[in-house]
Amino acid sequence: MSALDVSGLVWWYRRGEVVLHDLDLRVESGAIASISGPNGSGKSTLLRLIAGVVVPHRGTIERASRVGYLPQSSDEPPVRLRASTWLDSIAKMKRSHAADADTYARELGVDEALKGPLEALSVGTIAKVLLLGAFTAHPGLIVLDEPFAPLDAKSRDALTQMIGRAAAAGAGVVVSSHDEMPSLSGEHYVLQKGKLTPRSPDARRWRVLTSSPDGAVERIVDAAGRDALLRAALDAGHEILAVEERT
Amino acid sequence: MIAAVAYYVLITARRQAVLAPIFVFVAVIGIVYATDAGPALAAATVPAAALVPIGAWIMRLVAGVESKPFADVTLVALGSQTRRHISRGLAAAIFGAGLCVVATLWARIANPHPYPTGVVLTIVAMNLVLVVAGIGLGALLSPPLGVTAGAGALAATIIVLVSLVVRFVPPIGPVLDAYLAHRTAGGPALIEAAVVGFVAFGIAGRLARRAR
Repeated sequence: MSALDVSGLVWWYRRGEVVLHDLDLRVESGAIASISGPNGSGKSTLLRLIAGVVVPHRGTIERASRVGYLPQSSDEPPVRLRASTWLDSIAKMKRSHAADADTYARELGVDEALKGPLEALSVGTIAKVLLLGAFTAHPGLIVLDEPFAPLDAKSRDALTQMIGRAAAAGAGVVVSSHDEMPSLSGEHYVLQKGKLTPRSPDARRWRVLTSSPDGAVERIVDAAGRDALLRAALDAGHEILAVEERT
Repeated sequence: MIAAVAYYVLITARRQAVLAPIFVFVAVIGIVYATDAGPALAAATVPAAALVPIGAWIMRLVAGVESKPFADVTLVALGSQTRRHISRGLAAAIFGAGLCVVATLWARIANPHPYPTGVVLTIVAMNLVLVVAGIGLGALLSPPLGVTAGAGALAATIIVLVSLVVRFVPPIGPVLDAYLAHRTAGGPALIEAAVVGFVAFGIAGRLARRAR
């Protein structure tokens, strides 16, 4: 079953510049699609279209009936509500309840923050609460616009696991980023010149963290570089601290 | 939809900005009923007329109460612009209904003229219809339609002034003609004003669906 089916999508700005050209994307239930691309390539516009915030100029978008959406992080003021009340309201609007919010909140380290007003929270914590809003109420499609950008390393790992679990529970997940993303399974696409193209495995990057006499050394390398680096580190008697794929 | 209406009422009530139209309206009825305001129906037309711009003001406040990221999340959770538009309209109507009750009670208490049940019901209907007209017109001047606050205020002022001066232009003119000047029947004037409100609200909803 498909969580998202985008067909022949066309979008242009008011000034006439076409951003998305005849774009197709299908995300099955339980699948993850990560979309990367440079700034200004139209990722946020594409995700707003996918989530249903705006309607396309041409083309069709079929999506699961219940959608969770995380907009791109910004410093605009939040609504004046307690964070938990906001989450409850969003869940009720989705005709569900936010019973699962506490679990996600603990993972992201914002369970205490939920008891307070949104306007008292930092931009980063508000971003996490918005993230909870996207995941709660068992959405069939989760659309996340640059979710890793405002997060610390620990929260990035937690989010990676949350995405994996949501997909395992049957949700289709679409994630965007303009830079390196932590390892996510599923399909990887690059949005450039208005077209989505599958990202070749050779283009994938790896984060390798090794020990050295001067401390830990981190390098971002391609697959060949990763293998060479690991061999060299082991030959030198250094410890391999982490190897993870970046998209 | 009920959850969304409750949400909009709650977040709007927590903004100090909503106090401005409430205070302005309370000032209007305070001035009208400070002395003998005259027969009940005629006296009630001035606060009722004021409910058109006040309703438009409240609608704009409700529609703009969320910052863009939160507004987008609400829209996605509700699943359609139409649901969000109706939710915002109903939330504005709840505030408007509260003002209608205040205006009617104030009149009943402060004005030393008789207020038989039929007159009270007519005043309530007049207030409700004109606040609905104001909400409908306000929807045309509110997010997600790209009307700036200044342009919205100017447009609302022009609509109200034209309707006050050109007496056949709804929503205010015909109501004043009927209940203040007693030149026409009140029923058709109220129906006309209600139609203006609902049509304006419907057009705003259709435009919002296409808003990009």
